Amino acid sequence: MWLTLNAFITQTFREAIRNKILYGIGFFAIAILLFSLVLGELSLYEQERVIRDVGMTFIMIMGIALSIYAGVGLIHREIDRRIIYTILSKPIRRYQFILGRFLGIACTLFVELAAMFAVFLGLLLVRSMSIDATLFQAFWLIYVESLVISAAALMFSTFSSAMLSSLMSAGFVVLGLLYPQIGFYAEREKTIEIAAFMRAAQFILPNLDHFDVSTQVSYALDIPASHVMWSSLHGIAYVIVLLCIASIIMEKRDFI
Amino acid sequence: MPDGTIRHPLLAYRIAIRPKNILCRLHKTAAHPISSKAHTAIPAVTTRHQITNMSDAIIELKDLSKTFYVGFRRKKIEAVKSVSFEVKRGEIFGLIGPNGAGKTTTIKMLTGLIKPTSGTMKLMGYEGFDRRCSQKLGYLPEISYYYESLTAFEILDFYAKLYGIQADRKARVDKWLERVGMSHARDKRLGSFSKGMLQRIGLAQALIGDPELVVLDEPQSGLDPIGRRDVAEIIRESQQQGKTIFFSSHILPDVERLCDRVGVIRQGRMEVVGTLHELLSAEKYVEIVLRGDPSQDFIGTLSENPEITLQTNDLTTAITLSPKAAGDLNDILSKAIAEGLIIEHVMEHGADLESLFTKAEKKSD
Repeated sequence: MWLTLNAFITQTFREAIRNKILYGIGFFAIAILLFSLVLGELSLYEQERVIRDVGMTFIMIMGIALSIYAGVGLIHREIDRRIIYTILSKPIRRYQFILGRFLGIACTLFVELAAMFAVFLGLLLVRSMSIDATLFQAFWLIYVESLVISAAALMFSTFSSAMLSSLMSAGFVVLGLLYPQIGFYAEREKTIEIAAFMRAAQFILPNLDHFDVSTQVSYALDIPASHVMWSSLHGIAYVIVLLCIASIIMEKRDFI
Repeated sequence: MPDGTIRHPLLAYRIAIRPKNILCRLHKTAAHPISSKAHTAIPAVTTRHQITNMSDAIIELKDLSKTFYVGFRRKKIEAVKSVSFEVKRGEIFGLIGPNGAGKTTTIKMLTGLIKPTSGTMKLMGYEGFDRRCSQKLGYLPEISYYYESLTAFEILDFYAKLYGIQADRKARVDKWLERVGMSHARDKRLGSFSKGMLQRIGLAQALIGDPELVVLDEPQSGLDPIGRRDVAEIIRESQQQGKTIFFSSHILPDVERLCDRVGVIRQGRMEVVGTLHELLSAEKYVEIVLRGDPSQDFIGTLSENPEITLQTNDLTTAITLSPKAAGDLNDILSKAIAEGLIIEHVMEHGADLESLFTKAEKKSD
């Protein structure tokens, strides 16, 4: 089991670090982080707040983009290019394939986001700005959020085309971020059917708003450890459910 | 032909003649692709003999069918219809058929990539596709693409890990790179490989787990003649190591040269299955052309045999023997010599897979 997972993690990671597109995304992210410095300069007396806010927000956006790209692209490419035939005919279970791929993406995402975060911390240090625990907590929550999104993208790509999977993943992110608003409108909605639909959507969707701590990051406010823990558990539980669904779909699927 | 014996490597067919008395020209039909392989094919004949002693089937398919429902309207496509056949342990089995005949679907059912709609499948003694089978299974898909950013070594190492190979993994990867002639490209990325090089890597990934059953879908497609020869060599070697090879191909001469048994599939149905001898011997016939004036008695005797047809003119007599009358050849030639007739030629019209394949197609139409 471990050897199989190791094979997938190593292969996914090697593919990712040799992928020119990801290098492009990385350079773009660094450029954006540098741009946050410019924005900071333009905002009088609020430089640190703006740089922290813009910097972490861009890391989050990059996390979302990379998660969708990796989650959708990896499986879809394997199915499209028929590489999957040689993999699934080997003595592995299909859930191992999904789990291995996910762990590979998780490792890759961690390295990519950590690299961006390190650049961001470097910028703060250069500008003699404070580095506090809130930033690290925010980084962790962004990472967990990225895992949830990549698991969703992975699950969508097991049964739909790359384009459809990307659209569904993007919709998943938007609705997940609007989770509190969905609840808010569900309570006020008078049409029973629409209210029920909204509640059902709330039941299915993850609350990605839990992972958004931009206010605390901007004002360097403490984030309670319990919030980080419960948000992480919520995210990990959601990942497990999504991977189980993806495994069931893979198990039942014919590879024509 | 110093001993005056004509041997056909696949049909195991002999014609004993007397060179001193007979002017004899032996013709093989021009379309016969195996005739030039008479001597090189001898090891394969030996292996065939060994196979006849092995009776256990490694693949048993009974009434296996697969129906797909595609598109919005769920259009029904019956890709494979009630296919039944067996593959014996240690043999090379070739599956041939035109595009869309159901070869790849059959292969995908064997490798667990597609679940059959109905019928039964027994693989290596396990009912249905059991995950334990895949430990002993090597598979090369029809079109091989791999991770372009990985090197030849890395990709084989990846597949070796999937087989659970731990101890001598790196040595085994290097061994297989060498075996498929890719040692020179060990550390080159697959993105720069030609189709033939990728096919060799594909073959190595199929064999790296030391499988009992090797399923190859069009293993020689896209290869140059040297590549095809190398693949054929690896297939033969694998058989000599006791592996069973099941492969599909469009390259009929290769199938004919390599396979012990063949199945012809068309429109999802298995048209014929059997050894090449069984399939081809039903199609062959021998033609004798005699010069001179035969006696009425000689003509009369031959005319009585329904398996023999005669055509005579002033100068020659053409005698055609069906496979059932092939045993009479020596008698006929002896009588002709006794009559003082000159044997112009003895021509064996051996069928080949191509004609069998074409016949199966016509039959289906």
